[in-house]
Amino acid sequence: MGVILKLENDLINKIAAGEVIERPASIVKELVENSIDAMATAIDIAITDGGKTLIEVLDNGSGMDKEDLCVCVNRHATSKLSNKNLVNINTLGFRGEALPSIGSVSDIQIESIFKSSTDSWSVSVIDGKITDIKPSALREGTKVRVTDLFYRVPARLKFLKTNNTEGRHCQEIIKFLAMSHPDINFSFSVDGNKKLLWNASKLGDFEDIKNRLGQAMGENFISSSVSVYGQKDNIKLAGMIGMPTYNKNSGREQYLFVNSRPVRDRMLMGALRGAYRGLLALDRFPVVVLFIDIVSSEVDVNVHPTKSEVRFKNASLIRSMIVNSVRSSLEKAGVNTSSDISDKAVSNFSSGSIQNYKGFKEDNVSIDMNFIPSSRSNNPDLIKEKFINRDGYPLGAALVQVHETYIVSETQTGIILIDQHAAHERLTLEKMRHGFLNDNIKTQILLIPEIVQLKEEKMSIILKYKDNLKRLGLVFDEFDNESIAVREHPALLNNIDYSKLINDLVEEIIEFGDEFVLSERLDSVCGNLACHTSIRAGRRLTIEEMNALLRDMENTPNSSQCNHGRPTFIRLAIKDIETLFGRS
Amino acid sequence: MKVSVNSSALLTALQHVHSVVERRNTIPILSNVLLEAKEQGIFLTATDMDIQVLESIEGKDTDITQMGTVTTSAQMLYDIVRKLPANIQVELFSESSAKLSIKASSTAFALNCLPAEDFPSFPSEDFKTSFEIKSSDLIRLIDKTSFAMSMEETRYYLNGIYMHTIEADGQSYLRTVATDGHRLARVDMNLPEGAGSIPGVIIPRKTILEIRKLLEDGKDKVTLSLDETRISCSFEKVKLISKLLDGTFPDYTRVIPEGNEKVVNVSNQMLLEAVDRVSTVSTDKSRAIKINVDNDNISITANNPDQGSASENLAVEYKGDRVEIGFNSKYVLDVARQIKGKNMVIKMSDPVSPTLVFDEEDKDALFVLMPMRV
Ligand SMILES: Nc1ncnc2c1ncn2[C@@H]1O[C@H](COP(=O)(O)OP(=O)(O)OP(=O)(O)O)[C@@H](O)[C@H]1O
Ligand SMILES: [Mg+2]
Repeated sequence: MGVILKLENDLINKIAAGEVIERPASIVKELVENSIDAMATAIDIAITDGGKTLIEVLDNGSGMDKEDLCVCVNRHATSKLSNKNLVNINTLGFRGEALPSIGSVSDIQIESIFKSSTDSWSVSVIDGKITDIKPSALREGTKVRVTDLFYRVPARLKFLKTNNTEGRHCQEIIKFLAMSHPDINFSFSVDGNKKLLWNASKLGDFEDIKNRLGQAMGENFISSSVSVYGQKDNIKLAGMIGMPTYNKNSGREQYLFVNSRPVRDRMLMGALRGAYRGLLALDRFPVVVLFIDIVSSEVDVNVHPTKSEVRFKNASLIRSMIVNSVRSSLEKAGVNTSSDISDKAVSNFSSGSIQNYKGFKEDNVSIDMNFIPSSRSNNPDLIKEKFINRDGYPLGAALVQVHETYIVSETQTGIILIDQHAAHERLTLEKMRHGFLNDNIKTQILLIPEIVQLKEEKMSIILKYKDNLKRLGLVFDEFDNESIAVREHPALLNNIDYSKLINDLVEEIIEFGDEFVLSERLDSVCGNLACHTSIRAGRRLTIEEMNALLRDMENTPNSSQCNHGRPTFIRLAIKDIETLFGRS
Repeated sequence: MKVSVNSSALLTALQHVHSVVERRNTIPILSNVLLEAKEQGIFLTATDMDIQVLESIEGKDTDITQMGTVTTSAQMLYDIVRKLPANIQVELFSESSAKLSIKASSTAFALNCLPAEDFPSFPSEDFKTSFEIKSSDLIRLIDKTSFAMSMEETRYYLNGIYMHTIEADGQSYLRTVATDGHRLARVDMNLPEGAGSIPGVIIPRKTILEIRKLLEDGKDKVTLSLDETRISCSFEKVKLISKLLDGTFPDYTRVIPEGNEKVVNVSNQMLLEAVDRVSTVSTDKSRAIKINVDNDNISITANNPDQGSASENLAVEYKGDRVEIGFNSKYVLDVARQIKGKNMVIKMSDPVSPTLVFDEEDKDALFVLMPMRV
C-alpha cells in the first residue's frame, strides 16, 4: 500500500542524533573519543557560547585521507570494526554514527591529513549534505569544527541551559575522558580563554594516572583518598577511592572506566554503594575513580547508544571484587580522616579568629569556666601518672576534654580533635556487627507462615537467593508457583511488612545482584542500638577513659567516620597550626 | 444552652469519653466533645470516626435551664474539670455556637467552640444480638489475649482480638483469640446467655483498650451488642460503639499442636523471676533465652558474647527426654504475667515447633509460643 516508506537518510540521522546528541557536551564527547581512537597525543578543545555557536576539536592523531574523509560523515561508516564483529571492541567508537548524527543537527567542517601524507583536505557538511571538498592547510591530525548546533532542530535548542552550564558539562566530559588517558595533553578553551591545560606525564604505571587525577580532581581528592587495587583471573581493578568522610550528595563524582571507556553503570555504582555501606549515610555518596580492565570479549559495550552502560558476562565476580578491594583499602587506611576536613577546619579557624578578635577585646574579663579542663585534678602527681607518652600512638595521647564533647589529643606531628559520641558510636557498631556476623544469626520462627505472592520471574530470583537470605535469618520456601511461605525472620527485626521486604529484596537483586535491603535493615537496627548505647556528648571523661577510647579507635576498622559518614576526628598538623599563626 | 451540673459527675463522664479522642487530628472537630443539653439531661459524645463513646448525666446531678448543643475541645474541658473541686456546681453556658463559658465558684473559663452540626453522627440502628456478660469475665477474655495482638499494620486483621463461639464436648463457649504471628493466646468461657448467635468478629486494638478502660469502673455487668460490622459495650449511662475490623482471622486451630508430650509443671512466679533475671544479660533486641528441661530440672540460660552469660535452675518433676528450646524472653514474660494460678504448665515438643503454656488453675486459657533459633 506504500504506507511504510524507507526513511530518508537525513531523517535516519536525525533520529540517531536524538539518541546520541543531547547537548554540546555530547558532541565534545564524540569528537574527543574519535581523537583518542586516532591515537592523538594532544587534543585541543575550544567552545564558544557554551558550544552552541562553535565546538572545535583539534588533534594530532593519524588523520584521514581524502577518500576516508568523504565517507566518514556517512552513516555507519567506521574504520573501527575491522574484524566485522562486536566481540572484541578496543576503541571508544564502533558504531560509525557519531559524525553523521552531528551533521544532521548542525554544520560540520572537517580538515584532516593522513599520517605521513602531505595532502591535507577539508570537507563540509551543510544542511546534512556533503559539500565543498577542497585542499586544506592543516599540517597534522584532524580538526573538526561544529557550528550552529541544533539550528535545524529548534525544539532541542530550547532545552539547552545557559552557556555557562553547557560549558561546564563540556568540561566535565573532557575531565572524565582525560582521566583514563594521562598520556594525552588536553587543553580546553571557552570563548577564547584557556580553561584547562593538562600535560601528559610519563612516570610509568599508576603514577601517570595519579598525576592526571591530581589535575582533574584536585589535590584535595588525592589527599582524601586511598588507592585501591584488585586482580582476579583476567580482571584488574585500580583506582583512587575517597575516604568516607569525603562524601558528596550525589553519585556524580563516581568516575568509572571499563577498559578506559568512561561509563556510568548502575551495577558498578551499586557495587560501590555496597562497598561503602555502613560507612556513609544512605543519602551520601563516595567520590571514586575506578578503572576496570577486562578482556574485551568478557564485556559488552554495545548496550546503550551513548555507550555509558556496559554488560559484564560475570557481573557478580566484578561486583564482589569491587566490594572486597574497596573495603580492604578503606580498612587498611584505618585511622585516617580526610585532610579536606582539616583544611576546612583551618580555613574556619583563620576566618574565625579575625572575626572574633574585636569581641575578644571587649569581653575578655570573665574566665569561661568551661575552658578549665574537666579532668584536671588538683593533685599534680596524679596528673603526671595519667598522661601517657604520645609517640607510637597514631591518635596520640589525650590531653583534655573540652565542652564535655570533644577530646583533644597530642600526636607526634600535631593535634587531634575527637568527637566522643561519634567515635564511641562507631566502635559500638563495629563490635555489634562483628558479634552478629560471627554468631549464628538468631531467628524468630513464625507460628503462621507468612505467604507472600510474587510474579513468576520474581519467584525464580528469590528462590535462587534462598540460601543467602537464610544466612541472614530470612527463611522461606516455595509455597506454590507464585508465592513463597516465610517461616522464620531475623529476631532483630520486628513488625516486618513481609511483602514489601521480599519485593524490595527482589528489586535489589535484579538491580545490583545482591540482597542489600535485608543486611542494610539489620545494619540500621544495629546502628540505632549503637547510637543509644554510646556515650553522649556532655558526658565527662577521665584521661584514662579518653585514652582507652583512642586506643580502641586505633584497633577498630573504619573508625574514622561515624555511622553517618561524618568524621569522628580531625587532625591538625603542626604545620597547619603554624600556617594559622603565619609562621611558615 | 444553659445548664448546671455536678463537677464529679461531669468528670466521670469526661473521663469515659475523652480518651477516645486522638491527640493529633487533621479534622479539628474530632478533637472536640459534643455537649447536648436535652430535657432528660446532658449528653456527651466523643469520637475518632471509628469509635464513639456516649454518656449522659441525668437526674439530680443536672439542672437544665435552656436546651442546646455545642462542641468544644475534649482535652481542654477534661483538664479544666479535673482541676475543679469535687461535688460543686459547674455552670455551662453558651449563647451562640462560638463560645462556651464555664463557671465554678469564683473561676471562669471561656472556650472556643465549633458548630455542632459538623460533629460526625453515628448510625444508631439496633444491633442484631445483645448479651450481658460479667465485667470480670470480659476482663479475663481481654487481658489474657490482648498482649498478643499484632502491631504490624500490613496484617491488619491481626490488629485486634478475634471473638467467636465454639462447641466442644457438647458445651458452648465464648472464645477470644489474639496472635502476632510469634505467639498466640486463646481464652474460653461458658457461653453467656443470649450470646449463642453472635458472628465471629475481630475487635480492633484501640476498641479493646477503650473497653478495658471503661471496665475499670468496677461495674458488675456490661452489655455487649454485636452485628457483622459493629460492636457496642454499654453499662448504665455509658455506651461505646465501634467499627469492627473487616478481615478474616486466620485459621489458628491448625497451629495449635496436639502431641506435645514433654510436660513440666513449674511455679509461675519462680519461672517469671528467673527469666527476668537471666534475660538481663541478653541485651540485644532479640532478647533470647534458652529453656532446657532435663531430669527434674529446668534451666534458663542466656548468652551474650559481649556481655557474658547467665543461668538459673529450678527443680521440677520431669523424667522425659531432654529438650532445649530458645525463646524471646519478652514473650515468655508476657505469658507468665497472665497466669494467675500458682503453677504454669509447659508442654514442649522440639526446638522448632510451637510450645504450649497453660495456667494450671485456668485450663480454659491457652498460650502458644513459637521458638527462636539461637
Ligand atoms: N579525529 C579523527 N581522526 C582520525 N579519524 C577519524 C577522526 N574522527 C573520525 N574519524 C574516522 O571517521 C570514522 C567515523 O567516525 P564516527 O565517530 O562517526 O564513528 P566511529 O567513531 O567509528 O563510531 P561511533 O559512532 O561509535 O563513534 C571513524 O571510524 C574514523 O575512521
Ligand atoms: Mg566516534
